[in-house]
Order: sequence, then structure tokens, then C-alpha cells
Amino acid sequence: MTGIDWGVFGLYLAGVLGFAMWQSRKNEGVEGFFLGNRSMPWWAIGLSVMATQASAITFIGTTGQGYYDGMRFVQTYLPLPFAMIILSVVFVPFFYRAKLFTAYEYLETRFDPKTRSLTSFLFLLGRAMGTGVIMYAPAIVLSTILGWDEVITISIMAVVTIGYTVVGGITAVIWTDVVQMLMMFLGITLAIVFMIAGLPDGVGVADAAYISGVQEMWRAIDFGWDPQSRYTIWSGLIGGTFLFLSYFGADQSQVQRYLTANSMRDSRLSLLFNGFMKVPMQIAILGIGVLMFAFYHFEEPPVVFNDAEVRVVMESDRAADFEAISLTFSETHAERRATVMEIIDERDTGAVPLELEQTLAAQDEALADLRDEAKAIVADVRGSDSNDTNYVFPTYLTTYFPIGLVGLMIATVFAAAMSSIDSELTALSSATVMDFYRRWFKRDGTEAHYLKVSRLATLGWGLLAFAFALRAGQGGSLIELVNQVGSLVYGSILGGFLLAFLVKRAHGTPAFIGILSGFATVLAVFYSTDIGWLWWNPIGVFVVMTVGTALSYVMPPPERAGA
Amino acid sequence: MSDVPKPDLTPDDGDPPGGPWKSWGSIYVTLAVWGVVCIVFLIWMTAALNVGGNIGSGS
Repeated sequence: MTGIDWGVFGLYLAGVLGFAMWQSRKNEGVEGFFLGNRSMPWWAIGLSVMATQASAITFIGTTGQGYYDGMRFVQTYLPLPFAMIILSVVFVPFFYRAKLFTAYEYLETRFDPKTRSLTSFLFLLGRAMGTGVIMYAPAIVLSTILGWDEVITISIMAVVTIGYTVVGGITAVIWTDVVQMLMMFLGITLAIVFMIAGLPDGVGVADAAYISGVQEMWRAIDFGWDPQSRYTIWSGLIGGTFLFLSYFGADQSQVQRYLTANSMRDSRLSLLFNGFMKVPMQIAILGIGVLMFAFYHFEEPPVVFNDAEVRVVMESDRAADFEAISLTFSETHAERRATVMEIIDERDTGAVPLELEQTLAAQDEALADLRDEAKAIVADVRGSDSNDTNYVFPTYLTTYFPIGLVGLMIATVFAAAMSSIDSELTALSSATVMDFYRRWFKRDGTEAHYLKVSRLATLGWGLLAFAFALRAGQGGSLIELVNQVGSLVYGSILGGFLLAFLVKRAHGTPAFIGILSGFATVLAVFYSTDIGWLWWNPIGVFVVMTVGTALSYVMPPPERAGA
Repeated sequence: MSDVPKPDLTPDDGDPPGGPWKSWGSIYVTLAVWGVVCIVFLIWMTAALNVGGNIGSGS
């Protein structure tokens, strides 16, 4: 980064943080801190709902996934518009009218205190780890740019974000998210524009799309039924529906957002807004990855995108092996570039000969094999698997973006992560304080006391997330890791809510046992089968609903108080 | 046993979004159609832009 980039980066961050703090000046007490005095407009909440889900991970992990894997991941998002409708019709009226602080509070009204505590605990368990991953994401960007070890960049990220979160409330979080989301739209547009502008003379968008099509990178829909396949239309529509119902309907980090609306109408509109915008946005972000795949047919990519890993290898006794692979990689890439240019010439004159397409496909495979060999050396030297999916886009940005815009894009990634982290920490804090501390330990505290405890809880969760962030780099694609961690608990929590909404006869202890059974089943599936993570959510819901309903008919319901 | 709590709806809860949407039902239908359009677009993308399936990738 140049001095201009650092200037843009610093100015942008300072502006966003100043704006957030200014917006939060009217917050009063716990309701102000956690719910913004229930006065936020729907469009701001809608953008915040999107920004919370689409943090820095979206920019880094999803673009990297598009580069290596094509468009397939978009199938996960296809049910989102339908899930938003279900949430608006079924969930929002229950939550909004009850005037809750946390989603889990509702389950005490409907069932009993232990069911509320269990679901809140499961949320804390899943979200604390997920927050660690979100904290890790921008740290790797800085790691790539500055050449620092990830531990240093994660530490800096944690200190800054936790400090800001402890001071700011939900109002600051939502207004920050609004700015971040608008910046993300700008960033997506700029990335696409500059990638297309960076293609060589005579190479058009249609040519780039064709080059990606040879490796089937545009394969967005897979109608296969293999349950072990990570992404199919069926796992996307079925598993994704449950994932989004869980995430937007039973995860405090999202429910807390639409509880800040000043009417139920605004709560609903914020979710529906998300339903319209999300799928096109994911198509665009994955499309950036696929375009990058085509772009790197003309420009030579690094054999391994993680610079820090390469430096470690070059200081080891495997340096010569790595250099030999890099040399072969360069030669093969040059040959592939010649093939690509020949194909583009042929496209200008008519149909492309089949042999040329086959040559290109074979060269793509050869380069992929060389990259695998290089990664194996990295893994051998470092003693852990190498996965550079999350380094692809940052490397592209810093190498090919113009001066000034690099700083702006990095600031967007960095600040988007900060706004998501403080959203998560605020949610973790509200669940800890409201569902546990105030519910079980101190029911008669003052507003000032609960605010102090909330800030302490935020600090504690921040430190735990920091510890998890230090391990997150070994988990593969970041976006996938977050969803996997969440899916361990989401199905069981959602099952608890559906039991509450849909089964009139359901009552406390059967619901409690059902939720525990669902969680245990998902854990067993995770540890002992290869079933894709998108299926964990429906499995969890099914077990909770089945066990909870059956036991509700077998076990005697509790006597009503005063009956 | 506890009954299913009924959401306490009041008339303002039924306010439609406004503009072309006269009721909540109309906006739900619009969003559902939008969801289907997105799926159809991606099916078209898969069928039209992937030439690899025709050549035997990696052969």
C-alpha cells in the first residue's frame, strides 16, 4: 500500500467510527444499548441485516470460493427470499409483540426458564466460535499486505474491535452497518469494473466468460442427489431454508436487529428488503471470483496465494523443491496463455476447434496439480494443511487495483468486519446478561449496573473470540467454516422455536429434552458421517420436533400457576 | 400445559408497504416470484455458459 492508500484507509475508518459514535449518543440504559430504544428505520435495519451476514468474510471467503469452486456456493442462498417470507409471517409477530430483549426470552414465556437457558447457551456456543472466524478474516488481509504474521494482525484487530464494541451500542452498530453495506455495493461494482478493464486488449467479457466456462466455473445449479455433495439444488433449497430460518429467526445477532424497529411493519420490511437484495449480491460476489479465474489466465497468479506461507517454505530445506514447481508453473502458465489467446482469435473468426478447448482444459488441470504439489510442500513444512482460498482476492486487490482504491477496498473489508464483530459481540453480551445474569443471578440491579455488566460481558466474549480466531486459519474457506459452526446448533434452536409456534400441546420438559436430543444427533452426524453441513439443520429440526412432540403427548403437562 | 401465545396484532400491523403493494400478500408474492426468477437465471447460466461439459474436462 502507498501513503495515499494508508491515508484513505485511516480517514475512512475514522469517519465511520466517528459517525457511529455520534449516532449512538441518544442511547439510554440497557434498552438503548441493546435495542436502540426501538426506534430504528426499516431501511437501516435491512442494510444492517445484510451487513451483519455479509461481513469481510463475504468479500474474502466467497470470492476465493468463486475462484476455486465456481458459482456452486450460490445454491445455498436460493431459499433466502422464501425464508424471509416465512419469517415475516410466522416469527416476527411473536417476537415483536412480546417486546423481548432476546429471542430466547420468548421460550421462557412459552415453555420454561430451563428451555430459554438451553437455547441461549447453544447460541452462545455456536456464535462465540463464529465470531472468532469473523475476527480472523480482516486480519489475513493485513497479513498479506504488510507481510506480518497472522497472530500479530489478529491481535491488533481484536484490541481495536473489542475496544470499540464495549463503548458503542446497537445504534452505533446499525448505522455503521449502513455505511459498510453501501461501501460493499461500491466495492463489488469497482471490483467487477477493474477486473474487466484489466483484461488484455482484444479480450472481452464474453471471452473471459467463455474461458471460465471451459472449466465449468459457471455451474451454479447441480441437480444431483448425493447427500455427501456439499452443494446441490436440493441441499441448497432444503438445508438452506432451515439454515436461514435458524439464522434470521433464532440467532440473537439477527433477531436483535429487527427488534430495534419502531413497528412490526418496519421489522417485516427490513427482512423483506434483505430477501430482494441478497441473492443478486451473492451472484455478483461469486461472479468476481469466477472473473478472477479468467483474469489469471492472462496474468500469472502466485502458485500459492498466501505470501506468509511461501516465505516460511523459502527459508526451509524444501525451498529448492518449491522453486522447481514454481518454475514449471510459470512455463505451463505461459503455454496456457498462448492457448487462450489462440482460442480468442478462433472465437473472433468462428467456432473454436475442440482440440484447443481440450488443450486448455488439460493445461488448467496441470496447473491445478502443480498448485496441489506446492501446497503439499507448504503443509509438510508448516505441519498443517495449507488452504489459500481466503488470500486470492486480497492478493488480486493489492496487485492490480489503482493507488487510493486499494486503501478504500481494504478499509471496506476491515470496517465491514468490525461492524459484524461488534454486532456479534453485542448479541453475545445481550444473551449473557439478559438470559443468564439478570435471569438467574441479579434481578434487581440498576440500569447502570446492567450496562457495566454488559460491557464486561462484551470484553469477555471478545477475548474468547480472539482465542478462537488464532485457530481459524486451519479450517479452510472462512464463509463455509462460519456456516458449519453455526449449523451445529442452529437446527436444534430453530426446532425449539417451531415447536413453540406450531405444536399447541408442546410444553417445557419435552421441549428441553427434544432440543438436547437434536443437538446430540447433529454432533453425532458431524463426528461419524460425511453428510454435508447444510443437512445438519433439517436433521436437528426434525429430531427436536419429533422428540419434543412425542414426549409432550406422553409426559404430563405442568400445572399452571394459580390454576 | 401452555397454550400457543397468539401474536397480539393491532390494525397498524396490517399496514401494507405502500406503493404498488396494496397488501402484505402482494409483496410476499412479488418476493416469491423474484426468488423463482433468480433460480431460473442460474439454471440458464449453468446451461448456457459452461462449455466444459461438452468437451470432457481434463481429457
